[in-house]
Amino acid sequence: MPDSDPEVNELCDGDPLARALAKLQPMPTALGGTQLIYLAGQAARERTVAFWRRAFLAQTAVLAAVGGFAAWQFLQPAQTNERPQIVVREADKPLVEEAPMPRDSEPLSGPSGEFHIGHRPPGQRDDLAEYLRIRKEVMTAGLGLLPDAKSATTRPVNPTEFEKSLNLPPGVLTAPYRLPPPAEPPPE
Amino acid sequence: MEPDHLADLVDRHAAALVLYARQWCSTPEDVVQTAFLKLAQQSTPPESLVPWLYRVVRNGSIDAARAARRRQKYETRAAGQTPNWFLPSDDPTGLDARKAADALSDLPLEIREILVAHLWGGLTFEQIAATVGGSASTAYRRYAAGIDLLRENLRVPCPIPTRK
Repeated sequence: MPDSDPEVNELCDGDPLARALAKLQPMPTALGGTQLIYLAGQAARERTVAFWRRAFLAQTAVLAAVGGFAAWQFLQPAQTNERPQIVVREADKPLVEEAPMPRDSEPLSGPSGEFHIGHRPPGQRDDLAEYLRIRKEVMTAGLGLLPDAKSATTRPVNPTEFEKSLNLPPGVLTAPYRLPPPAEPPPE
Repeated sequence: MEPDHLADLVDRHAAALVLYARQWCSTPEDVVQTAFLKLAQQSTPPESLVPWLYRVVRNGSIDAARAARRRQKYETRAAGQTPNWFLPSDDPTGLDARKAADALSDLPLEIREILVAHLWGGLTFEQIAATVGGSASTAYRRYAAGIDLLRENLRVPCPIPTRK
């Protein structure tokens, strides 16, 4: 409120009407300072209560989470604790049936993937050694190491040699050659 | 805020703030009470305490008037009812309180709020401009125009040349 005396109130700007208006007192309000202080204190108390309520809820939630985790940790080993099983077997009978031994004629591959190249003719040994070398390089360096595929030049088949290699009588695989029929003379 | 300081503020400014809030809404006491409660909840009191209170009351009154219009669906101006804005004047030569309130309520709202804030709230035109927006010179022009309009309505003779 400005100064209650309009004569000395500089806000009235020297205007008599403004002074007369400023002389009018607004209706006193039912609003009391004591009531407001009480309401302010009540609001502050409600804020404090709300804060502690939230703090209590958060603390309870944290404690419940920690307790649940601890209980889970406590129960977890009990679930995985298995009793030792005692297996009784006959002394002569093997626990696992042994695999049959491979024969010498079969190409072998050991547990490490190595081939045994013993008991083979020398030509086949070289081929197999070359194959194993390429295979090893491919396994280590990849497929890019392989040479481009080229069609091998094939020799024309000689029927006579082929029949001889198969122990067939000569002329079995040769197709009979038939001469084409003579051309008929054109009709006159 | 200390309770004594709050009580002192209430004693000094509550009536003018209620008059100011009455320019918009029909429940000015509630608005002013809310403003004081908001002030009490401030961790650090505002720098310009009284202008801050007027700004909060103004915003609260506008919101309350808007809510009341939505709720009650009536378009009657709350300020138009003028339920005893001023105490009856003891001075027989002074203004009639009822006539002054009626004349005041006939003014446009943007002028009336400046008159109330200046004459009964004690705010300077700079503070009023900060509260209602605009410049201090605009606030002063509106104030002067309001005084002139009141002079015409109340038929008060003009002792000095009119500012026009």
